[in-house]
Amino acid sequence: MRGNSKREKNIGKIIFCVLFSFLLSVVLTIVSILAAIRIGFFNKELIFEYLDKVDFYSEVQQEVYKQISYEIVPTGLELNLIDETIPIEKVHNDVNGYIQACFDDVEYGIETAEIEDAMYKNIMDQFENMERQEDAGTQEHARRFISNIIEKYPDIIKFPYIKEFAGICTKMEPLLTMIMIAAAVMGIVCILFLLLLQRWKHRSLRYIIYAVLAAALMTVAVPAYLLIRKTYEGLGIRPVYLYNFCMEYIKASLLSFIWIGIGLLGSSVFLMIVVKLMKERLKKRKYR
Amino acid sequence: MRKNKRKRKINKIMAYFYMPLFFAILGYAIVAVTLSPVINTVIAAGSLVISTSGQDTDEVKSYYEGEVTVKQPKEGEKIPVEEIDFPYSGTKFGELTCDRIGLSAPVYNGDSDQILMNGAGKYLGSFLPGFGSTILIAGHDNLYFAELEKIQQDDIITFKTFYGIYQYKVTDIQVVEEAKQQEASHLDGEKEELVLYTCYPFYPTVYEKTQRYFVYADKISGPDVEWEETK
Repeated sequence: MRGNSKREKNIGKIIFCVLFSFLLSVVLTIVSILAAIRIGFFNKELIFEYLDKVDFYSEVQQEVYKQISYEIVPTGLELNLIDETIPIEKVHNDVNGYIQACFDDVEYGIETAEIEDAMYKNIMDQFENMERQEDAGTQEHARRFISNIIEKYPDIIKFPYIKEFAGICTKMEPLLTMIMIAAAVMGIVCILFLLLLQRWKHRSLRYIIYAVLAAALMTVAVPAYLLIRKTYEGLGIRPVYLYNFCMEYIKASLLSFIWIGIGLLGSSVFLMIVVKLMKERLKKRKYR
Repeated sequence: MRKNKRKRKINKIMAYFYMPLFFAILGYAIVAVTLSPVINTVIAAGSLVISTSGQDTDEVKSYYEGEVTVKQPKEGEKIPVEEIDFPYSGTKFGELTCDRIGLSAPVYNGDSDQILMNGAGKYLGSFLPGFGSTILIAGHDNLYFAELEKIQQDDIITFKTFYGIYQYKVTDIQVVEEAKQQEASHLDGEKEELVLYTCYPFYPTVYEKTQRYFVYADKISGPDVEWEETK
């Protein structure tokens, strides 16, 4: 009789430990996923890092030249009027400045006066080479023509959906922080219960290890599947340089989930070593 | 006793595998069941923006590499339309030449900005050679159609395609205002007519070119295509 009630008590203890361990795994998964989103998808610094890696700025520069040349060709003017009018440093500063402004939710004005002056000089040089005398009317028209075609530059710099994406990142960050804190508190409560439920603390640690391993599995499974299948490569993004950047950015963001999963796995291995040491210490104490 | 101890040890080690696996499966099952309407909506929305076929590039492609690939019919016979593989937009399918003036322009299906930088572009709403109707082709006056300035009546334009070689004799040359471009294109024509057009005047200017230079040429040789117009 006494034995039966002791067994029932033990089974009850195991059920509660499994329950709290499962809850802890869910909570750890939530914290891991949100942390991966913060250091991956919603990380502004990652955007700048990958813009550099995929040589985004020179692709933008080439795209600007290409779009402007479509406007120049029908006029019969030589395409060399745009040569070296848009320095790569300006493209770099404008792209980064615009992205930063989107995250800061402020307006970013793109200056084109220097580019227009350089193009105007090139047009006048072309007319000089053609030995054409241009009057004030033509000069004014040349200025108007240049300011029309240079409108392509800010349109290309302000690449689509970055403003909306930055808005989402900025709005979601406080919410993510709150959820992470709440989940962390719940996790601590689960750990406390696990420690209280078991007399021998190394047994509590074992349940914590199950939770950490499960969290690693749940965090890594879907991103690993997406990375292997490369489903995201089917996204229809134009132009090609923006597509290339998005692919690298998505891949890096998914990898952040994998890194966190590896971190959780490392933690569980560390805890396994701790459990082993605790058991050995107990054995030494028992046989003293 | 030793056997039991060993068995317990193995169970404890195996628990590090099956417990996390059980938790993971249970966790995903709970998410799948409770969030299935949301997940299905997300997957459906995702399939709208994700394509299973490869990424298309912006590059123009070539369907014609200088050879007539379809079997040429005898005199008086026609090419069945089923034998012609219609080119996609952005694909090169032929070449225009006029030896007297030095005209040589690759011809693409479509007339986007990118196509016109690489050659002449056939308006998608017009026909291919051999179909008995208007073939409307555009080009830039300072690139591939620069030589059109020198063209004259009775000049012969050769249009080589991947399915046949056609020749057209120039019948008329007109300069029209941009507003009258639609009418001047002869898109409702009932005979096979090659219509080439470009911006006018031919010299460089920062002013907008509001005139168009049209060259009309009637077919004089080349295989007809056997097809039926659907009504």
